[in-house]
Amino acid sequence: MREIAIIILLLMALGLKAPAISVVATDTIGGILYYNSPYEHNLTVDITENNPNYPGYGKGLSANTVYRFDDMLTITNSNNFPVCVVLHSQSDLVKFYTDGESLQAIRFTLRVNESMSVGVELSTAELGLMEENYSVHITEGECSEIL
Amino acid sequence: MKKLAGLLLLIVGLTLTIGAGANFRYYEADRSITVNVVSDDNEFIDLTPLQPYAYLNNGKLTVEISPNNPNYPGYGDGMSVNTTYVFEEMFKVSNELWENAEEEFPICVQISVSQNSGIEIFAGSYDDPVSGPGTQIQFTVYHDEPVPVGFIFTNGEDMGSHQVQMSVNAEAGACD
Repeated sequence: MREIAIIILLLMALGLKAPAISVVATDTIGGILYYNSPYEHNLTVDITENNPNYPGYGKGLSANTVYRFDDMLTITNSNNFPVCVVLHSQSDLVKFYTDGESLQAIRFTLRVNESMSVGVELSTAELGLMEENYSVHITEGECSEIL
Repeated sequence: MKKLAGLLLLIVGLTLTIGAGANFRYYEADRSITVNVVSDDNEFIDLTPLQPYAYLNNGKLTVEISPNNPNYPGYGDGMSVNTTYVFEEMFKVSNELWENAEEEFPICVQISVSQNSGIEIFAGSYDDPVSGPGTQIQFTVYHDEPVPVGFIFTNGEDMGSHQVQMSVNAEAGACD
């Protein structure tokens, strides 16, 4: 009985720890994504007073405006192989750009140790909290021609 | 006890296999963007009314010289025909971008009103404007140094109400 108890404990420990490890691992393996702008904290763009970088002024963006923040995200490929990065916004109020045009979804290849700064364009509607989501997909190898 | 040791070894072995076999294939993450949409006088590029003729309508700066203005005191319904009115410091523009917390982060602000609308704008004071008067002005705004914007109304022959759209555009960096 004692043996089983120990094994169960161990498995529980493994089970609890596994997600934490894998999150850290993928965040580093999949190319380090780090914030480069005060509006970004832990990969979460947070333009409210809750952001730890909030300096005590500028509580948000005003209604019916378009804001473009250059270099909001910087994505670095720290792998020893190229990767294809796809950023996809679930809302047309949030768009990404690396050069002139901003799009709801962008993709680019990062070679070994290469970085890309991505700007974020935010379009606001009415007053209140605006909560949107975007996803980051990173796959091994250069982006293919076909989207 | 031997059985336990064996099981432990197996678990350790399994963990190692998982660890070593974790070749990168695919990474996917969902992240959020939260933005507080606030009124013009609280935002990054603040437009704050300085005169009762300017107010925030649903959070948006509005200059209104009519009895519909919530600050209308019950007298002075408007401006008469063939007059010119100059209002200094109608509102101010300030730079509240968070980048300023780290380093000086000036912005170049451009404000434009429709041409031939009888309205001209200027930055700073009327006697010594930083920019304008004109239908399109631009000036640099540093953090903690708001720039006031004044209005010149040249009223023609037509009575009635006139509406003019004003647009504000700001770019990172001081104006050229």
